[in-house]
Amino acid sequence: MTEQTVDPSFTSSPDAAQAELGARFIGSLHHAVLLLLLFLTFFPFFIAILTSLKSFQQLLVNFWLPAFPLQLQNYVMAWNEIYRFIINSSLVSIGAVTGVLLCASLAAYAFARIDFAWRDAAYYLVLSLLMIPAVLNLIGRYLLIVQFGLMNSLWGLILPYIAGGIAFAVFLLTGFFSDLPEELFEAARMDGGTELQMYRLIALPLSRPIMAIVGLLTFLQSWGDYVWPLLVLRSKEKFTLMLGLATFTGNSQVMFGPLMAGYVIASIPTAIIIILMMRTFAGAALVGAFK
Amino acid sequence: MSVQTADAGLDSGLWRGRRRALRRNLTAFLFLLPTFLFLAIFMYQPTFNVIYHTLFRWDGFTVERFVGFKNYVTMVNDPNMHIATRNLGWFFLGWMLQRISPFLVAELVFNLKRERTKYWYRTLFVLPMVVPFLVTIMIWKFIYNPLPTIGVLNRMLGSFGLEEWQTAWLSEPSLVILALLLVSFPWISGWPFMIFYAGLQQIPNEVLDASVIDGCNVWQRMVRIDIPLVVTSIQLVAIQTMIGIIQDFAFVLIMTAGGPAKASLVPGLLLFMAAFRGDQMGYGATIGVTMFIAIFILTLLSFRYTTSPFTRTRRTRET
Repeated sequence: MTEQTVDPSFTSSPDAAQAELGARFIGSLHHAVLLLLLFLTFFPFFIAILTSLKSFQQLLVNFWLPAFPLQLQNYVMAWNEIYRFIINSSLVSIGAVTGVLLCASLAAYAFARIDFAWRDAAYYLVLSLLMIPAVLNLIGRYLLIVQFGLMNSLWGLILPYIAGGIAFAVFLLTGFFSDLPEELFEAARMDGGTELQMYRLIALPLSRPIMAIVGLLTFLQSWGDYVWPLLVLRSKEKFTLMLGLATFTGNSQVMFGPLMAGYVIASIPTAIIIILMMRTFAGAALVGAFK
Repeated sequence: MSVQTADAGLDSGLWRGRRRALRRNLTAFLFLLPTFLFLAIFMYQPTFNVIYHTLFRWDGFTVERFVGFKNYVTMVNDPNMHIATRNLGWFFLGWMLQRISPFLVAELVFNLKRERTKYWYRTLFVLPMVVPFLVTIMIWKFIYNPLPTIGVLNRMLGSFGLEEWQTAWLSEPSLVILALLLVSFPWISGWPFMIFYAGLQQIPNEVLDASVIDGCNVWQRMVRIDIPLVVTSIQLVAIQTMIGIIQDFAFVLIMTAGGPAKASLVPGLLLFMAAFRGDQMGYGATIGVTMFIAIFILTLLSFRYTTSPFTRTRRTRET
């Protein structure tokens, strides 16, 4: 009796086949859901790239598929419109990255490796800045920039970006510098090395990956900012890329092709940066730093 | 004689120690100088300046009249602020859901069998992060374009024969918040997904194996094992999202500038308008300080009322 009820469920081939069919069904459903999500994720960018290669007429006639001939001159037009903005953005971002890395690494070295009076207090003074939301400072910084006469100047972006990036950079770098083995520094001290030498010859060379991460983060942040350039910059030849892209839209109601081409071009620098970041295991390291 | 020299030696040793400490302090001071110069000028000074000036009627430059807490009273009674706060409530709910929902997708990817497929899905899902945020927003503006022949969404509705549904998505007061929340649907590409996935990867294999042996199904495992073990990641994402939502207004500024007719206004945008378009720096500062206090309190509360995974597992083990 029991044998009869147990047996079929285990051995009879139709049921086993059905179970496997069920597992297969669930498995393919699993993939189907993921593929649908992937499709939805990429759809807007796909459309943007398609549109970037069409003239307005082609867009009206053939919206969903590539239209031939491809309008490569859209990219030329877009490039002529935005290359100035790319140069400006690069100057700003490079300035911000250099400043943040220089200041923050010096400060982090002091916090991590020099035993000085009021060290903890000074460290918390820096860290407390992570609590302050950026909007709170918007007004105060704007007034400073006006007073310093830095309105409509790229320095009006670079200096606040440096200040804004330092706190988090000090936080990351201090953690990294204090994990370096003390023996290295002890040996250098025996040989009469100064702190500046130890910073330059020991700490910096050993911290290249984390410096790269801090640099890339600062780069992305300054590159992608929209509100602050909107407040500081007035004349079009000073515009950063994000600001330029926003105005580029305003001028051209029907030039969707060049517009989208501009968006594609604008994504290339950040794409390179982020791919570099993934190569240096920044993702994993960052998650580690957050936890 | 010998006592004297020993004394002198001790004395000079003390001196040397002090001198060394002094030199260390001086070195550290020089190392810290550039950082604190930047912070003093561009962080501390503006912050205190702004907090101080919430008590003034102030255009930032010439007009400066002490008004006590009048700005705060004005803010509490400002109908625009009421609208902005209500909108922010909707945005808050929607964006919180957006940022937490990638957890389900992370689970879906994590539960795939082959490492190679997992890797590819993971990489592809985060790939759109290379596109700058502003570009993504602009593309979505194109998707919502009101023209039936140009707007991607309208065109799509048209090709399904749903012409009567075509509308100006961002100019319809009843739709605008929903439309803004749907931007970058299905919301996977971003750092929450990466953090959730990293959290899942950190669950020890023994725990997962044990769950299989004990006959857990996928749903039970997710609720009983995965979520409690990655709760710190979820908490991290939630807090970051909260801080971001309360202060961020660039997105709304670019998409709708708060419109139509304040239907998508948020407090951050109100600050921006008051301070930089209306010359009411004191009032803008008041909104900023209030947002800061709100963020501060919410962050503290969320730390207070969420437990770390360790205390939670310990508690379940005791019962």
